[in-house]
Amino acid sequence: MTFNCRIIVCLILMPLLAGLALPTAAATPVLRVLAWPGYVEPEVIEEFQKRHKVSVEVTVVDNDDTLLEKMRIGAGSGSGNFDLVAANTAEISRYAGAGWLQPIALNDIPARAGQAPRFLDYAGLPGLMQGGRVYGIPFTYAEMGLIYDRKAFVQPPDSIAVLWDERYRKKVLAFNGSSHNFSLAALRLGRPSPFNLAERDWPLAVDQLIALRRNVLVFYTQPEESADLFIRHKAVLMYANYGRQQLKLLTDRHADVGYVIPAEGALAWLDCWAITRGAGNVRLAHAFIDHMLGATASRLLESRQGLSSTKKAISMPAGKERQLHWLMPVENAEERTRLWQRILSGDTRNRVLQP
Amino acid sequence: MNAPTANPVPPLPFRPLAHRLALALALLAVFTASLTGYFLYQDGRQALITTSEYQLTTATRLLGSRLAATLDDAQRDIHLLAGHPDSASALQGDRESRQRAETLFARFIENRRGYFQIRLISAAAGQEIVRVDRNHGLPVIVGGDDRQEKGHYPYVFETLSLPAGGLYLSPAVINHERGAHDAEEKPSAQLAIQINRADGPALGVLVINLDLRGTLNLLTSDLPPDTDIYLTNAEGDFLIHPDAEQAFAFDRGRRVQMQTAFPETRKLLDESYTGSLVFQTDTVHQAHAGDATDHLASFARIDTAPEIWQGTGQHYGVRFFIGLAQAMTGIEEQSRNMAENVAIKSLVSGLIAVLLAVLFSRAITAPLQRIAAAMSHIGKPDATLLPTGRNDEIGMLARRFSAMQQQIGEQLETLEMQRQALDHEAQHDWLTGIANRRNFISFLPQALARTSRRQSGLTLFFIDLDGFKEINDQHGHAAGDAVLVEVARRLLASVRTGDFVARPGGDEFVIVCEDLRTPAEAVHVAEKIMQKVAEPLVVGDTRLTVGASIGIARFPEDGTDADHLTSAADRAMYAAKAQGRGAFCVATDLVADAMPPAQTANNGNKEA
Repeated sequence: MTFNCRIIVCLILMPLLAGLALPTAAATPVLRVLAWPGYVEPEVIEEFQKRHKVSVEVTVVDNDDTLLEKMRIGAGSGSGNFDLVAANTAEISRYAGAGWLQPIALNDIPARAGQAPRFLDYAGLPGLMQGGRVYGIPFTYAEMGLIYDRKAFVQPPDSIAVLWDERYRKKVLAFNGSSHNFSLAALRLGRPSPFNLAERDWPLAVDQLIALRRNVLVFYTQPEESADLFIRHKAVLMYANYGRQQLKLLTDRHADVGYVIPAEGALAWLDCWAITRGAGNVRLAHAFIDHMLGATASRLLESRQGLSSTKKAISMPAGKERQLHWLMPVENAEERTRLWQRILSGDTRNRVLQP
Repeated sequence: MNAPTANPVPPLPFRPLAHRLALALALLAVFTASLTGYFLYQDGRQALITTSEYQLTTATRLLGSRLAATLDDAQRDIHLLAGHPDSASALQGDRESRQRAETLFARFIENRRGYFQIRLISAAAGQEIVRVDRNHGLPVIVGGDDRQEKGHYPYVFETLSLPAGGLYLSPAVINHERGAHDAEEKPSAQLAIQINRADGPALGVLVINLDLRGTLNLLTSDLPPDTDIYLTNAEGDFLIHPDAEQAFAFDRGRRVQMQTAFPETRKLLDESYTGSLVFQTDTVHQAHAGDATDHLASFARIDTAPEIWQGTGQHYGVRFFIGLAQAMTGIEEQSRNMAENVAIKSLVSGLIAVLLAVLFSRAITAPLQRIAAAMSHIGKPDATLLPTGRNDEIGMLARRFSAMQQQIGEQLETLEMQRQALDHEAQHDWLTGIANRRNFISFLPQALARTSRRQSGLTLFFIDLDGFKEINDQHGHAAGDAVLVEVARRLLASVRTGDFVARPGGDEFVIVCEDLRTPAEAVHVAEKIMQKVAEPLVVGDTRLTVGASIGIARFPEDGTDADHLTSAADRAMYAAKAQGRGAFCVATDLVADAMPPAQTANNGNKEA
């Protein structure tokens, strides 16, 4: 699973650390939060601390493995090292299954009322519900849409098939990622689940990806790299693995580009807030989630990080919402990697499909 | 008595000046030796470090230049290969040209150990047309299905986007391209050039895949084995690092950069900073081995190949940073050896200095001790010789002391003479020069004791002059004094040498004769005295006569101690006086006859 969080320097955000040193600090309850870079901005913490007369300690992690390790240690210590954790749906599912989380009292989070309907349909989101109880509250997400040059397209492209369109040969940028690219191929083949290729689908998917290889300029890796290539090589279309973050990078450089979710839908990841089993103050933890769904946190998430909040979209009417394929474990990650490496290296179909 | 010892001061323990002087000089000498040694060590160590820094900096620059030169060589090769007619023909589909190109490329792979691959890739389909790989070190011509489509790789599309003949160098990456033989999963960079048809359009690209580690290994084979080598790209990401985990970290989603690992290198990133950098660091191995050994590190920024386009940084020219680090253990060891040498030399020179200090202090204090010895023998015959011959402060002191010694000697002599005179005056009659009363009082008991020990006899004569008062009255005291002087002289003349003659006072005289055993002998002496005294004497032009009345007491018959004997003599003298002028009386007889004279003697005690 790819997270479109810029890998920035890991910080322990404790702006009120100085406050802890005050004599009254000993009596102040402390809320310990485990989150990704940019999720809990200093202004957000300050607001919460003022409102609830508490101290918030944020520990920042920048990859799933570290997150898992910290959760494991926290769970092992009995009382738990953290009260709250932000993680993607797959991780939430894993933590809940391990018994590290406690169910969320939805009524204690009134700010959910401002969320888009798709983020309130917990049963429709993968991994959030277990045994009829909700373990995660959606917080931020990114979908992998298409970025297009407005001058080259009179109408926004409506299907991912445009990536294969030979009219745009060498003007298309795609992402260098085995799992996502096979999911993309599955969408192109019209399969219901992009994460579950049937046996007979593999050669077809390989064909699609070889065709894609011949049509693209490059398979990029980093968002900055993609923006640079897009502009320098006057590309017209880009499969945006990093979503709106890439859109922001391009518009920051005055590129006249649009962003669209194609009819086939888009792959998307979703990060949620969860409360640990050992949380010290459950009421306060719910209040924190409620706060994170509020105006300040949502605004900063979008303006500063280029991430999407889960609030109701104002510009996009609910009826036109395109399907999002929330990332799930794929049927065979190793096979996807193996085949993709061959495709990327420029092998022919026969070569790629060799055992 | 005002005794000077009223406040007794305990004597201070003697601490010879020589010892203290020697100690002070020795300490000074050792201190000086140590300090000199320390500074020598410091300077030596710094010199070692400076030399090492210089060597390391030179090596770093040299390595950078070599790497740049290698890139120059690769440029020459790629121009040569791209300019070869077979390259263009092969791209246009000529089979024979392709085979010749393959042979040519294989030669290059064989001879250029820094190349992984040489390829011709068509512009239209990005298809590899000619490809020679290095496989287990040897060239292998890749044909058929094994040739791949590479159009989507930057080294193809970026090169094709350059002006005709443009050169492109890809960022250094870990080569993940499958089937690349020796290049697979190895640090590499692609140097590519556009090949054009004579009339303009691009036919394709010629790509040389550079083996970064192999090249660097070739270039660094002559460096000392314990040298750590660092190579980074223009952004400072490590490409070569002694800890493999730190190299190409960006390939694994992390960034490990020179400027973070070695903050000292930040200034190399500053465009205005030219030249290289050398610094000491303890972070070289910390990251992977927890080893905080001090290292000497040198980094240099190398800007080269200005005609090459690199996708990253979007400008022409190739930039990289190169660094070398050496553990300072070598320097430390040399410093340690040097420190040992210096310490031994300091110790030896210190010991010599201590010895000299002892000798020197002795030389200074020995004369002082002689002076001290001389002082303790002042006024004594065994006074030691002073070192007055020296022409220094000690000589001066000795001379002054010698003068003082002489002066004190003379004064002591005078004092002794004065004391003897005083003593004589105290014991003798000022007028006649014979013993006085005090002398007599102290002499008699001694003479009695002597006589008693010898079991011999002693006779005491008390003599009173007759007619003296008249002389005094008629002729004056001067005449009286002259009479007394003459009488004393006659008394001395009338007894034996060694007999005691004294004038207790007035006109009375006393004679003590030891060893007179019989009364007859005493009588004989008395008669002799009377006769002598009675002889006429001339004072001025007057003839005068005096007589002597003598009382005789004998020891032990008339008294066994001084008091009794004196009393007896006194009584006898009065008895004699009573008999008339010029008589003598023996005390023994007096006791036997009657008591009255004794009483008279008691009442008429006329002691002076």
